[in-house]
Amino acid sequence: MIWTAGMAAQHQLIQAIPARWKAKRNVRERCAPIILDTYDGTLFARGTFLIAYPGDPTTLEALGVPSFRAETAERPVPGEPVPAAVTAIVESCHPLARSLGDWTLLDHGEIYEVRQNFAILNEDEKTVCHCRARTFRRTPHSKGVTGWACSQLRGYEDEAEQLLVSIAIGSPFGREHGDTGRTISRSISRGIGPGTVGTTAPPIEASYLLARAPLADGVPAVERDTPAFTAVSLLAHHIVTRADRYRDGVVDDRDPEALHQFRVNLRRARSLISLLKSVFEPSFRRTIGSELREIMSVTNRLRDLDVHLHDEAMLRGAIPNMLVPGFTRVFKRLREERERERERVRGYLRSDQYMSSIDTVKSLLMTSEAEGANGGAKPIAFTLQRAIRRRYQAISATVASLNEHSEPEQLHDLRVSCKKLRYLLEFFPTLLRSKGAKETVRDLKKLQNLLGAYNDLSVQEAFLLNQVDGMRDDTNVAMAIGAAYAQKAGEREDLAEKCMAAARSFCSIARGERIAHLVLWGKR
Amino acid sequence: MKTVALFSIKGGVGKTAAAVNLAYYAAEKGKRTLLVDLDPQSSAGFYCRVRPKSRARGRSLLDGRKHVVSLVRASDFANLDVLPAPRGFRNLDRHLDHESDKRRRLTPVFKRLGREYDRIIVDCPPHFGLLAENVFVAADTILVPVVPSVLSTRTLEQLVAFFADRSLRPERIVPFFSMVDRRKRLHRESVEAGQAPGSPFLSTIIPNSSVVERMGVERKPLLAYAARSRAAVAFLDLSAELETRSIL
Repeated sequence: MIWTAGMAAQHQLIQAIPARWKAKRNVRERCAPIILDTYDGTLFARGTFLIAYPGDPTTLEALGVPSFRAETAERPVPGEPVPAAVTAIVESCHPLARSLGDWTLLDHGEIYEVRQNFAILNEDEKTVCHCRARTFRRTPHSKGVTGWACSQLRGYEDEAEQLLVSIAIGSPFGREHGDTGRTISRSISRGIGPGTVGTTAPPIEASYLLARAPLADGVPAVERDTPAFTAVSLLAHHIVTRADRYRDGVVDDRDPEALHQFRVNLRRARSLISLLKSVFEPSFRRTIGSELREIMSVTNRLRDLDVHLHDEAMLRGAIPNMLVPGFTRVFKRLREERERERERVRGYLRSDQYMSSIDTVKSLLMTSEAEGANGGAKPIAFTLQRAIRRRYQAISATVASLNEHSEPEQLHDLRVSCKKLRYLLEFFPTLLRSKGAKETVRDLKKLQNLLGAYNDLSVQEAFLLNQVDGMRDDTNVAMAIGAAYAQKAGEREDLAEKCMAAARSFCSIARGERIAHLVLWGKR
Repeated sequence: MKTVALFSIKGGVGKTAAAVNLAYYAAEKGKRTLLVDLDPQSSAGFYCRVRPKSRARGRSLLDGRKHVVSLVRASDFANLDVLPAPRGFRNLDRHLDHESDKRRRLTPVFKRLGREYDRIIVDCPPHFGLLAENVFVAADTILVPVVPSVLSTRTLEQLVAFFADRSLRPERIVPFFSMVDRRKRLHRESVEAGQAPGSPFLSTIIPNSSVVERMGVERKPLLAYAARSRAAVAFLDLSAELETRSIL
């Protein structure tokens, strides 16, 4: 049994339990392979609750059947879930601490349930423990409570116990974000281990990870002659919904990847709407665009900080050891700023303002076809082909203008153009010639990787220069930044030539012809 | 319970790969299977990502039957457990030499393990010593992978002669061709000779394939990551043939 409860929270809970039960059973008994935890340290606790007894994995099964009534509650029978009228344990949203010890609480009302099976792996990536978890939420976005049942594999009892304790302490699902927690969190997020092959349940944090499934999952079916407005609206709605599914991950700050994916999906939705803009009325497009831009702008700084902090080890490794201590102050300041930004973003994503923005976007995208512009009635294949061709022409024009005197901004523009072309090729894969699209995407990826690396170096340079401001008095900082800057500038110049060569090889006559006939009009 | 040991005096003939894949196949079939790694290189354990417990010693295998059970660890695959070899197993011969019944000391150990498992697959070290003798006594079948080469075939003959010397039943020795490269004339001829009527060799031939070597990278049985490869199909055929002969 893993014990993560705060004593104050347990005390509150114990106070709320009828005295006769307490006499019968010691609620602090440690006997069950169940961990209870809330995601963010609070739990909505109001109304009638099902209180399941500790020590019984079947309680989790029983939780899926909330058919108990308080008035029929009798003395608890060990091994069976116990219904009870524990009215108003606390008022709503009262912090019950991160954990509730052995007890499982479940609101009787309508709930959202996420079932998850996953494996906990050790450093050898060997499964040491199989876990089944169920998360219950009042609404898809509300806080949840999770019940876990873990079965340790034979011979790995001690190791599994240690890892589970680390999870509890590191709290990858909670507010804390210590190193241990993150390590374990990564282990967990590898999903179902080979020992549970055949399990259909999604891996841990389904609400978060499901959104990381390939885009094809659940993408609305689109035919060649589907009106462009319908096709684009449906897909944009799907992408925005996906982005919204990462919201919990961002709020809980489980993993920087959640914020990244949140933003990537929003960016894709924006690109889709702007690249196929003939489909929408300008006012319609502007409204959606401004809402999405606003949401993204709130998270800009936090994402930048995540990227800079992610680069910390690499930057430290890029300069001589004696200069490394100069970075300590820099990154300490960044971490402090990240904490502030995280709170700000969390507040925003929980606010009515965010909900209103996302609802506005979704509802607009669900409006009828009649709201579309003239171009919206044309078949999607036609609109897509035209957009792909134009985007390729834009890339070709940029590439033609590149030379050794080109400004870094030109390579940046080229990167953006490539990204947009790739989005276009990935939005409606069923409408494209599979082989040609795959080849183009593959070559685009190679080019993008180079351009991305170039852009990363530019961003790092700008970041380093910014850090000098306000720390000019600190010689150590200046020396560390100076050394890293010189290193990065040299690397960037080398990379620029490679980028140009790759871009020129990407744009060819043959490629242009392939691009011109990429969309399927007749048979495949 | 059936105990099958993979043995060859020669190293690098595919004992461990065969042991791991046969064990995986049996487990997939729903049989409770234990893969016992007696080779101190611990390759079978490595393939299954199972490390020996830190407290495991060479003598642990001999220190009481209950103690043996505590060395067993679950693999990542249903029904398949592994008894990984700690480094101390290199001294097993020395430990056995001090035992009273040194040629049959492992028999009760396997019997104890057999209470929990339907199949026990033993991966032996390439060494002719007391440990090997114990396995010969305890196992129902000795599977011998033979690379179609002179030296490998000679080791098979030596093994048969050893069984005769010790009055062990030689019919329990079941050889099969392993790591066969059909581009080589010698391999082709050896296989043809081995498949002649009356030959003790199994009809299944395990080809030499790089996908088998990848087991060390994937750290999984071949059937778990390249089930459609030629080598994986050969291991399936081998398992099926052993099943038909009531060996596995």
